[in-house]
Amino acid sequence: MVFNTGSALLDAIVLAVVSKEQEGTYGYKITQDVRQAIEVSESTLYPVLRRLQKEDCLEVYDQEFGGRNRRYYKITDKGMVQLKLYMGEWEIYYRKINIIFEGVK
Amino acid sequence: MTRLEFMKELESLLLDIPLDERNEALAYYNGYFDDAGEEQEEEIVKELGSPQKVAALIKADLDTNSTDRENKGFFTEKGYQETIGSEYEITKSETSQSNHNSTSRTNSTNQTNQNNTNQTNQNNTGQTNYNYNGGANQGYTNYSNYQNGNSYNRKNYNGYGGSSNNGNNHYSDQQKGKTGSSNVLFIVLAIVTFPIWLPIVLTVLGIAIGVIATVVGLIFGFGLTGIALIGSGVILFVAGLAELATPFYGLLMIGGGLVITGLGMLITIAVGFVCKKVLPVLISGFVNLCRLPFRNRRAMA
Repeated sequence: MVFNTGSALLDAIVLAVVSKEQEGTYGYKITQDVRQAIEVSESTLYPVLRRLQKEDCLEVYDQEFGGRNRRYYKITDKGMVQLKLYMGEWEIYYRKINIIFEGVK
Repeated sequence: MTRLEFMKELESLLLDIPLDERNEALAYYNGYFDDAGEEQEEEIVKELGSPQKVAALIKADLDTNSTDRENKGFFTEKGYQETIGSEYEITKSETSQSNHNSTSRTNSTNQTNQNNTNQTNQNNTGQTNYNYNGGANQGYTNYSNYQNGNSYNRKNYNGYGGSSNNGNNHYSDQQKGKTGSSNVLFIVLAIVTFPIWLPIVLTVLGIAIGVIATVVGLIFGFGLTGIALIGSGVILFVAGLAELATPFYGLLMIGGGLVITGLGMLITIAVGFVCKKVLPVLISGFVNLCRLPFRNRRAMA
C-alpha cells in the first residue's frame, strides 16, 4: 500500500470491524478482516485492541471453543460513539481530498 | 523458529512489564496461533517477525498509556480530544532507523498540538468553535477544536465522562497447554468419515474437470470454426476472381467468399473476447467458489 494508515484511522477500522459482529469477534479474525482493507502486520493489532479495551471502547469476554478459552472482543456504547465520530471525520476528510483530485487529467 | 520458541522468547522479553499485561499479551498470541491452526504456524512466526519487534510494539503502547493516560481523554467534560498518535508500524518492510526518528518527531508535534487544544478548549467551553488554526504541521490531527460544538459531545459525554470500568478485566490464564487438541480431533474425524467425503470430493473433482473440458472444447471448436470460415471465404473470393470470365458465377463466389470471411471474423472476435474478458471472470469466480469452504473453516476454527 502506498499510503500510511494513521493510528486514528487504524482505530476506526478496528472498531468498525468489531462492530459488525453482534456476538463479538476474536483477534485472529479481526486481523484477517482488517487485512482485507489495509496491509497491516500481524503484530500491529494486539496493542491497538488492548488500548481500545483499556479505553472502554471494546469489552472482552472469554468463551470456550474447541477445548480452550477464546477471547472475544465486542464494541461498547462508548466505542460506537467513538466510531461514529471517526466515520464523520473520515467523510469530511475524503471528500476534501476528492474535491482536490477531481478534474485531474 | 517454532511457535514454542517464539512464545518463550516473547515471554522472556516481556518480563519487565506488569504481570497482567504480560499474561494478556501472551494469551493473545497463544490464541492467535491456535485460531490460525497448526499448518499456518510457520507462516505466522515469519509474519510476526522477531519476538523483539513484537515485544517492542507492546511496550511502546504501554508507555504512551501510562504517561499520557490523564491528558489523553476521549470524552472529557471539554468534549472530544484527539489521542496522542503513536505511529504504528503498518507495512511489513519497515525496519529502517530513519522511521524511528520520524515517528518520535511526529509524537512530539502531536504533544504540542494537544497542549494547544487543551488551552483553547478551556477558553470556550461548549461554544461552537470552528477553529482550524492554520499551522502547517497541525493540520488534520488538530480537529478537536472543530469538534467542540459537535452534537456527539453534547449528547453523549455525560454518560461516558468518568472511566467506567465494569469489571470486564476478569481474565483467567487457562489457555496454555490445550494447544492442538482440536487439530488432532479434526484429523481423527477426517479419517473416520473417509468413506463419506471421498466420493463427494471425487464427484466434485469430476464435475470440475467436466466443466473445464466443456469450456475448453467450446472455445477450441468455435475458434477453429472461425478460422476455417475465414480460410474458406478467402479461397472462395480468390476462386471467384479467377472465375470472373463468367461474371455471374464470379461475382457470386466473390460475394459468398466475403460473407463467409466476415462471419468467420465475427466468430473469431467473439471467441477472442470470451477468452480475454469472460474467461478470467469465470476462472476467478470458480477459484473463489473452491476457496469458500476453506475460508469458512478457517473463520470458524
